Amino acid sequence: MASLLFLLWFGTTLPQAEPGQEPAAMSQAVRGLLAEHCFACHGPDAEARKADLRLDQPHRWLGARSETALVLPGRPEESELWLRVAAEEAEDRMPPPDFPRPLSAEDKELLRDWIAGGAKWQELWALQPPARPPLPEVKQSAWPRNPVDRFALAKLEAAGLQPSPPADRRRLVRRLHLDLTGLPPAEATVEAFLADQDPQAYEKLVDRLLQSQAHAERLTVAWLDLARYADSDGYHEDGPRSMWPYRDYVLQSFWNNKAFDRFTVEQLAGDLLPNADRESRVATAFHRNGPTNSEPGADPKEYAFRYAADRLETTAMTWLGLTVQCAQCHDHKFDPIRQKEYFGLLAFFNQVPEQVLWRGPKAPPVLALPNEQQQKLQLQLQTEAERLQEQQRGLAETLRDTWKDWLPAWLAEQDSTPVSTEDLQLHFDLEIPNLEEVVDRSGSGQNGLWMESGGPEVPRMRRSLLGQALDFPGLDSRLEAAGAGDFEADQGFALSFWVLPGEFGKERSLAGRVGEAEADRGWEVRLNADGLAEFRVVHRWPEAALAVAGRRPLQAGLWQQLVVQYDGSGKVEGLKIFLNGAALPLRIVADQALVGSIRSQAPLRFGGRKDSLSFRGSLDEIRLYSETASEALWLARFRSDLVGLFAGLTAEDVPELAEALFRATFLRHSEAGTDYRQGERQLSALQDRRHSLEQAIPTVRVMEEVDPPRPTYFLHRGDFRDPGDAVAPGVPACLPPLQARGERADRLDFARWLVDANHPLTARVRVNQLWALVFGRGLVHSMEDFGSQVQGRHHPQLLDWLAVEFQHQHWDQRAILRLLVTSALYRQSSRSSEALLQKDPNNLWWSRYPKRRLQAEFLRDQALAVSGLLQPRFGGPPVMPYQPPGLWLAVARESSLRQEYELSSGADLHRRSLYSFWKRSVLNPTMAVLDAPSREACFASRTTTNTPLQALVTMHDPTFVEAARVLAEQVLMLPAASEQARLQHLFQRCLMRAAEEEELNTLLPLVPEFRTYFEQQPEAVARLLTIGSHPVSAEISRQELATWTALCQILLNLDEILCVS
Amino acid sequence: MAETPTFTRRQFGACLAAGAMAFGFPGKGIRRFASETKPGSFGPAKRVIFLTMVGGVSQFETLDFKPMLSKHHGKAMPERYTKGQRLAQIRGQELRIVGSPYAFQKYGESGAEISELLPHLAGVADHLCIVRSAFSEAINHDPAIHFLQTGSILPGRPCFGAWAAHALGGDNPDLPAYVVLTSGKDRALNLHARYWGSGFLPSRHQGVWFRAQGDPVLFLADPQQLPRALRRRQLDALIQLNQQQGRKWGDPETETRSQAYEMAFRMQASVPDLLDVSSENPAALAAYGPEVERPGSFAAHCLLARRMAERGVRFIQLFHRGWDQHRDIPKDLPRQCREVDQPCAALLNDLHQRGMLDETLVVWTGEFGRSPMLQGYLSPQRYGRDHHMKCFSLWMAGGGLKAGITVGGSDELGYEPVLEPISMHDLQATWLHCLGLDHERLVYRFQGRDHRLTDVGGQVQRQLLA
Repeated sequence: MASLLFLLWFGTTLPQAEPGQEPAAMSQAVRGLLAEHCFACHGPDAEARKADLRLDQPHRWLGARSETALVLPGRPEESELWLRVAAEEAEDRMPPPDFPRPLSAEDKELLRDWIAGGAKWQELWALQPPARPPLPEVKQSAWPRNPVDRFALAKLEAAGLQPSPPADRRRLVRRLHLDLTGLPPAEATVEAFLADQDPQAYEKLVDRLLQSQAHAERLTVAWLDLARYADSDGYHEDGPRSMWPYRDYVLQSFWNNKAFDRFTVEQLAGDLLPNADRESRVATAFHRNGPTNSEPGADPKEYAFRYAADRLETTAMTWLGLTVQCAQCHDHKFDPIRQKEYFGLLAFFNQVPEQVLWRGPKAPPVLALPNEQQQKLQLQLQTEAERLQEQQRGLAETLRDTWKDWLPAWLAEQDSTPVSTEDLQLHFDLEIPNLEEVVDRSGSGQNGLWMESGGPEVPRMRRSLLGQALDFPGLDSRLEAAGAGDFEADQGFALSFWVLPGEFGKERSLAGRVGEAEADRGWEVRLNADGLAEFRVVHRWPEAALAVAGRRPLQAGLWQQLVVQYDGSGKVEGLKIFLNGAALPLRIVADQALVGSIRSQAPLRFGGRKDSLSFRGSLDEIRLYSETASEALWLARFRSDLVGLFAGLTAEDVPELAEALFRATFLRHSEAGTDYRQGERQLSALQDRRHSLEQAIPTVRVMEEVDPPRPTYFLHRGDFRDPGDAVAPGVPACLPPLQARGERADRLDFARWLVDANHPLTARVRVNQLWALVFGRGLVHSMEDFGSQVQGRHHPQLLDWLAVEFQHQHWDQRAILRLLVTSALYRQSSRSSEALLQKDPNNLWWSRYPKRRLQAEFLRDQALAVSGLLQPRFGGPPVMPYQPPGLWLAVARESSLRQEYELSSGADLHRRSLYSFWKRSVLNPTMAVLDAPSREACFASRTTTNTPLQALVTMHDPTFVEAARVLAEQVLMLPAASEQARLQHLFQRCLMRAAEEEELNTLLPLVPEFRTYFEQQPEAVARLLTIGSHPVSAEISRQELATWTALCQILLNLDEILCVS
Repeated sequence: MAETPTFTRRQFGACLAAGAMAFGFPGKGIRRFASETKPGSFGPAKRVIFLTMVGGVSQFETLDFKPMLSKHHGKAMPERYTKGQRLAQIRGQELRIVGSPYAFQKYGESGAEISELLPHLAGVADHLCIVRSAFSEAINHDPAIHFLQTGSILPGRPCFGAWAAHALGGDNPDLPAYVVLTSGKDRALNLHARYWGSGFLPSRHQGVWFRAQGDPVLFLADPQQLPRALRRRQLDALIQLNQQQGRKWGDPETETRSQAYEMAFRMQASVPDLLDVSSENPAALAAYGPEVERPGSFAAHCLLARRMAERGVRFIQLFHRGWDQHRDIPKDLPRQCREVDQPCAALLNDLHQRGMLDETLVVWTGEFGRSPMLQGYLSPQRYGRDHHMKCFSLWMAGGGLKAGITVGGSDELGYEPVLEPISMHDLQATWLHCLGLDHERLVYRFQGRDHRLTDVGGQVQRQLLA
């Protein structure tokens, strides 16, 4: 971007003439020029092509005869291309006058020179595998330390430039630390390095730094921009997600110097590796990092496409350096990528079995990552639960004999007043002669209709303790009540019934109003395969639905009373399930805002859905209420059933009821049941512990493949609503062919293809990224575009040499970085003389080390480091350092998940910035102001701006103020030092160098001025010293501390400390 | 991608007064088209006040009078309208027509039809340029807000304000060129900082969010609250130290950084001055309504917008939330209208009285409109409308637009424009035109492509221009 801006400023255009331009470079320059000015109408895009002329394929227009050829090599005046470009008359001229990007005089000259020189044409360089170029000859043969220097020096000499002298060792050691670790060196490290007489002292330091965790953290920051890593979802309410295990995977990988080919394959297809393990599966979170949406009205098809497109674009930018996304709506305008090929690539990335519009941190597929301790605890709790359950069974057995004698007396004591039933909307007591008409006893006249789908003739009514009950054979027979249960999402209601389940093992629907044609709109009570009751309230399943499930199963073959109720609040907490009059502990199954109606056209059904989920078992005493009730009321209703219906009977009369009675009455209320109840409480506490353990186990979203694979369709104009033919997964024809393991290529084939030795792009793109880490800018400036429109490609041979070396070194990134930072080029001084600014204003030839501002994370980290506040913990969940209050809340919707920022405490306030919670919609303002991206998409390089808002941050952000204060405290702790000595100490600590005379003269007079002010203004002192959490030392005068804090603020805002130089 | 650290900075130094770069100067690369224009006289509009009604305002209760909806109230929406159409939350439901219970009248000499919910706005009808035939291409909030702001439904492009700041800079070097104020609450909708982001443009062009809580500009106040003079001494020392090193190391960026600190210092005075409304004439203040006293209210923000306009802020954008009324229009819409009605009218009057309306483009719009079809209950006390992108209404004023006109019209059920359909890109092209910018030439190269606010579409709507 830099050179683009610079060139536009002058109204000239790319490409630039380079000193000593060889034919190959000239050919690429001409290609760039044609791409810029001609391909829009005469390029790869067949739809946009005019006059059937294609300038990106020279065999179509290079020729020997003027009648057939646009270009006659060596004869520009006879070449139509030149004549059209140079035409005086506007109507003959190309590009046409109204084309927004006309050719400059320099461009035309380049074209003419190129034709005159024989019109040599090369295919797009980036698509040719790199060959190791020979090291160029240089005049100053003593200067190069390694091959990097040979290439760089050759360019410098060709441009008539001298390399800069080496940087002084103090600056060099600071620079090296900041570039490799993002942290300044400790004073002791500097002194040790300066004292080290070993000629290899620098190299030793490099090796030590490359192996450090801080180095891994530095590389990770850059990678997270590519991986568009964040701790929030991005779209809509931007809720929190748990992705940090992926961040830790990246940290560990860099720390272990994992080979880049393996790093690549794991992240793109670690789940498909034959020996996939926890690590390689966590790695695949790379492609679950993209932004996701949970907006209820959104179209899942649209977002499924967006997610896949994001994965493709990210992959292309990170590994291929191609703007593949330009081929989404039409053939690529500049590079040979067809629109159809775009969808071939997309087909690798749209095979994830994901819930597109998911609300909540754990969007499936997720991987739970218990640590060893948690795994042990899981096992231990399970064993304990089994033991307790066994004990409870035993206890129940021993008590069973005595309860029958106890029951009649207990029943007699119970209040038998009927419970109010004013809100009863429906009541089937089933005391009816036959199923012709199922009479409603509530008085609302909603009689039920028995529906049967044939099958063997079996009695449907069963005799039970409750009189008659309805028997469901599990064969699509059901009871319907068309007018009942038609509640809206903001209405409360409850359904109670007695149920005797047959066997478990299959998902069953007990009752509900479910619009199956309307994404299950409505409400439903289910019994899952484990006998757990589930209650759903649904606008659209599953993306706008609330659902809970009991954490204790029902008992098969026994009568029990089940109640579900919903309070109309639209919240999952409003869903309740009661079993035999007691609230069941629940697990949340779905919590996705109910944004629309839950009313459907379907009738209320009992015993199964229309054609599925048929219930097997019996139901009785079905009651539907249009109001909710308290737990106390449900217990009262339950007892009322017991008393009213069963008084006078004994347990033996109806054995299926016995167990429910036994549990609901005797065990719960008798003196003899005390131990049993104690056991129940233990069991429930244990369940809670298991649940909170489950919650504490970190998870990460990972990739999986759907089976069987989904078809991918060509989309006309990239519109997801306009699909065309199916497209098979594949790679563009301009790139090497992909070897699939099976019939259909998958992500693993694709990942392996990327790191194949013949691949022209991956190694080049990665060494360019590594170069930019330490030199501030890529060898190719457009890090995301190596295609026809490449920007700032001034060292093609050096790039190729490095790319070949990278592969030769088995993709060892550390080896490449070592090569770069041990070069003489890297060790140059950063001083810019007038002459250098004249000859190499933009440092295109690296005629000096590129001084530049530290990026957001490292500026904050540096302040923490020099003050000694930095907490060096490696990895872990995200933390929330200081941030002005109310930022999240100001933009949050009222029902957002986690809408308030929860300030961390203690050590977590002072962790490195890469561990800060990265919320996409409201990025931490300190990071945002300092140009950190909010990571809504892959970011190949950051811009660096220089604004007043940045000055406000480094002056006033509490982190920086606290750092200044703690730094001040430390110089004040120096025993009996002069003010001058204290200042010297500060300079050493912050800048690794002594203060100069004039610097001392500037700062020393400030000390008494500030001192006088703070002595007079104790409130100002108090305000200043309360900032931050680090305790204020009692040993130091508070005024003195405030005074030196103000001085330290100056130090922490010097251009020199804000930059690496 | 890094902005060129040395050369262009030198250029800045050479051609600009010190301190102008950080906010006040247009971005590089823009020279190619802006070179013919003189700073300060860009087009009829010198600035924009953009009032964004987040969530989508119902046009049927405000600006688009549709008696046929009331006539067919409760009946099924004819299928010929909705067949195969994109719907948001009422997808798959029975679609019924719902009419507005609020009365419309003609106001002003222009006879603009405005509902009783906007009585103050009706009073300034002759300033307004009402469009009743706008349409969007996105039916959900996030993409639709992006589309309104950036011309693309995908995140990552620069918004209108950032384009304006990039192309024109600001007129006051002590204030940002692009300021954002947010107000209102919403049950269902988040705001995202990317709505006022600069996308691939340099990040200094992004909107600076002024807040009602704490520092209005983040980290504006120094915690020890040094007296100005002492603060100045601190800053002088910093700049002196920078100069001492800068001379040795020859990096022009060092000087630029010192200038940024100078401007931060000036902002510490200019921003509180901007926000201090105690000098305002009480009658003028009262015109904005009672809410003007409450910091963070839309009314207070309208007043601030005028003060910013006076001080040379190029683009002032207010986001007011709470319009996403799926269920409870009778409860929520009158309140919502009350919040904006009087302040909007006061703002227009205020600008007009100060002679600033002609040079200020004021836009009031949601990201889309609301459906003629019902959502939720059908009762006069309780009904709602879903999102609707096919046709919606907005009003604009000043800045080179015709005053007192109503343009375009929807079909009798308000589903689609039948008269003069105006796309979002058309609107954006027209707004840029008012600022003297050609939407086809205001381009920025990113990832190998020239990007525009209007993407590949947009036509200046001449019929709207004065």
